[in-house]
Amino acid sequence: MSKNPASSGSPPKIALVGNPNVGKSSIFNQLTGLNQTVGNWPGKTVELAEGTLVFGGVTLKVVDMPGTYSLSSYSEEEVVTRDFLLGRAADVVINVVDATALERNLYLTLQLLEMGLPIIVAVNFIDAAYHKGISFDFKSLQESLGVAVIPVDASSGKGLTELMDASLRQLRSPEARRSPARPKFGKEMERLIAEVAKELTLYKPSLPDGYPIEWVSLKIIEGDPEVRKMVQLPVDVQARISEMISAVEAMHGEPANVIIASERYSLSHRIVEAAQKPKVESMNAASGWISDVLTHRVYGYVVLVAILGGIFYLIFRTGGFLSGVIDSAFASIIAYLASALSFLPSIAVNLLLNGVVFGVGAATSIALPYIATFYIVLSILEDTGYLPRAAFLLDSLMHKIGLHGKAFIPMLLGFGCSVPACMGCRIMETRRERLLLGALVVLVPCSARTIVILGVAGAYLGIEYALLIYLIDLLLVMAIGRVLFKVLPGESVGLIMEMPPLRMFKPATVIKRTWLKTKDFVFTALPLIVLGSVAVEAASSLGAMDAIVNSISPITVGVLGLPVAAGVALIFGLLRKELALIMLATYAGTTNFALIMSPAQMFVFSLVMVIYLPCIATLAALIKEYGWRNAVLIAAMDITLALAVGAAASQVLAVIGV
Amino acid sequence: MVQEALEVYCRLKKALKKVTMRDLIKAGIDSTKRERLINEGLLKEKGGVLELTKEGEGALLAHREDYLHGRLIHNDGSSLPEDALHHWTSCHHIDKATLNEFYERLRSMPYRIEDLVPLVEAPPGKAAEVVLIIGGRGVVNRLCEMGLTPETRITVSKRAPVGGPVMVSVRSTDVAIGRGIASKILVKIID
Repeated sequence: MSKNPASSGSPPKIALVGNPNVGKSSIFNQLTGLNQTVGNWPGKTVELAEGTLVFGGVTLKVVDMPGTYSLSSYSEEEVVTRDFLLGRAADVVINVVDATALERNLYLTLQLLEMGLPIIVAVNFIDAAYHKGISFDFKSLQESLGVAVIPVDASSGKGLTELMDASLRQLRSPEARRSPARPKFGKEMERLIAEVAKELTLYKPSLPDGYPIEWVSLKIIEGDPEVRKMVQLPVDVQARISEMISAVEAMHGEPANVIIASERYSLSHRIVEAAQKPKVESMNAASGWISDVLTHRVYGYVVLVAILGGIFYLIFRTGGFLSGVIDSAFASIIAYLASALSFLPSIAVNLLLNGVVFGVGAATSIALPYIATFYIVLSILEDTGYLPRAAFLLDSLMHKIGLHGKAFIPMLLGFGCSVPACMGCRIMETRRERLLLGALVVLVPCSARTIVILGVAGAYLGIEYALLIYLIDLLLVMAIGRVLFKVLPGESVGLIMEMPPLRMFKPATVIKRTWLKTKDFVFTALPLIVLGSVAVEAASSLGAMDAIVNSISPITVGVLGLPVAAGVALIFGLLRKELALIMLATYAGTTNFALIMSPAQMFVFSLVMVIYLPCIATLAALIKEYGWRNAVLIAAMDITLALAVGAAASQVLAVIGV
Repeated sequence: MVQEALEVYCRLKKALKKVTMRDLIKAGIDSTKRERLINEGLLKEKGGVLELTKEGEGALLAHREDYLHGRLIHNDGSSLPEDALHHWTSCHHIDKATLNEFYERLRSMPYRIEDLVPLVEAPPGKAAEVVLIIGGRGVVNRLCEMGLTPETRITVSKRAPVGGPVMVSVRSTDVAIGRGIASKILVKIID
């Protein structure tokens, strides 16, 4: 059956499986420290987090599977997890469950047992459960499930040694790797599974190794599209099976998948009932009233506005300060290197300094101050469980653009940076909604674009004009959302979202996550920004800059009524939008934009810079998430929009005589 | 209304398994209604036990379908158009296969349809039982995964303002459900 891990060359793999919000990632972080990589599953837009740890002299690889509630094939995450586990790619499977919501969590556990996996169940948040007055007889739980059950508390690290001991035991003894007994369904369902399994054995479909026949039967009964496709039953067998299923459905008055779900839940209920010790009065009602305030119909929105306002203030205060420090540091490095390297031909020096070093500086001075600060705040909101509450409050607003409350989360990310916002769209359930949201989040003014708004419209025209541009942009997001919602085929999906309990965040986890995410951003964006800077530097060294700027002057001057020099900003905006201002200043030879643009032109300029094409790093993220075709379509839409809105604004301003 | 007498019969059937004429009398069904039930061939007496006939099943289903549509979905008492199948598929976007399952569930539902309310209208703080979910396979599946299987006890804990979602407690977790979906989950309030 499963391969002997000792014989294979690579380190044994431990997979962490569980519902979202069960502290899976926090266990992963405790186990692996900073030895982690975050990437994508091959060919999928599902996050893959891997790390290593050394325990008891053995090097182990830990894989943090995406959080799922179930192992049907309704989402990519579920398919990835299922295929990984059934292919026995993991030597040990740890199922992390939340002690405060055990009944719901065991629903997934039962499905893992149905797959015949010798899992280890880690019951997390035992301390939090205890404070709520819930405690368990773990021996009873272990007996009911037929696999090892280890109580842990990830935030304090309690129980993790025992968990790893159990994992090593399983790695070393073939006995412990034997498939556990499959949880039993009701009489009729068991008979149906046996009948379908019999049909399957007669027909002998070619099943991959490690796919238990009873599990395949169960999935066929559930109507799982992936398994049905894989098995490819002939029409007559299919018809016989359908008949058997219909008979049971008629008996229960429910479709088969609902009967199965109900029976799993009633088993889960019985297991929890048997293991739960008599409840003592809840000792901690504090998080109850906080949650009530956060989702209150009036105070909830007050808190929401305060939190969002606070975030923007914090990010632009600290971000602006740090960004200035880094920029001036790089400026002095460039100046120093320029004199040190003066023996080289000037074109090489220019390419190296204004291209490579400048590019690295540009990437750092946005990544560290803005992106890192943003991720710190976001991690705190995430870990405390505030985000779902905000999504709850904003659900009806998001419905106006054909999405539901969860869409608020990538939108919020979009104010920081469009790259993580694009990747954040994965939380939506269907591909249609991911695409719709992806097209919208790139229009949300990211921190770089906010700098343009503040640096031009805000500085020269006044803060009310900056806010007006923000407002126009957000109205545009709403309008485009409505249009795309109507145009894209498919139905809108409603909100079904768990509200995790409010929890205190751990600073160490927040910093660690921020570090990993920022690193991830730097790796995606840095090469592109450096390449772009080199290209632009090469163009200007070769004296091609004027030609390029002039060649787009029919657009800048003709359509938008801007000065020719504005073309520099439009081109540089592709690399990094707030840098565009510096380049414009260099090209025009002045930092006083009032000398080169009229107030009306400044307004139009800021507006166009905000709407038109996302930066090159965002484009790369769009291609990664939605493929070339959709990325190009989104980019084309943004350019068209920017030109249309810019032209319209310049006409309107001309008419009212500004 | 004779249909409501049929609903009473169903509720008794669920509680008692075997329903006799006596049970109907005790439940307050008057003699005209009882006679009509038998005369119109909706119920049949067999060895003292009342059974629902094919016609009775049809009448019950039609009544439930009409009530569901006019009272629970549109809430204006509008009656279901002649071609009900077509109306469900084209105006309510329920595909054929789901519709069959839906009729099956409607037929076997053990409560009076008049006792059901959509989840959005359930008063916060009250316990309720999930009875019927009107929706495609995907939605039903996702709700089941989150623990909202038929006959589950839930409590509405909060409603967001202006067409926002409702929050329910189910199996010691809180789940937010969008208004659109919540208006298609029919529950029975438990006093």
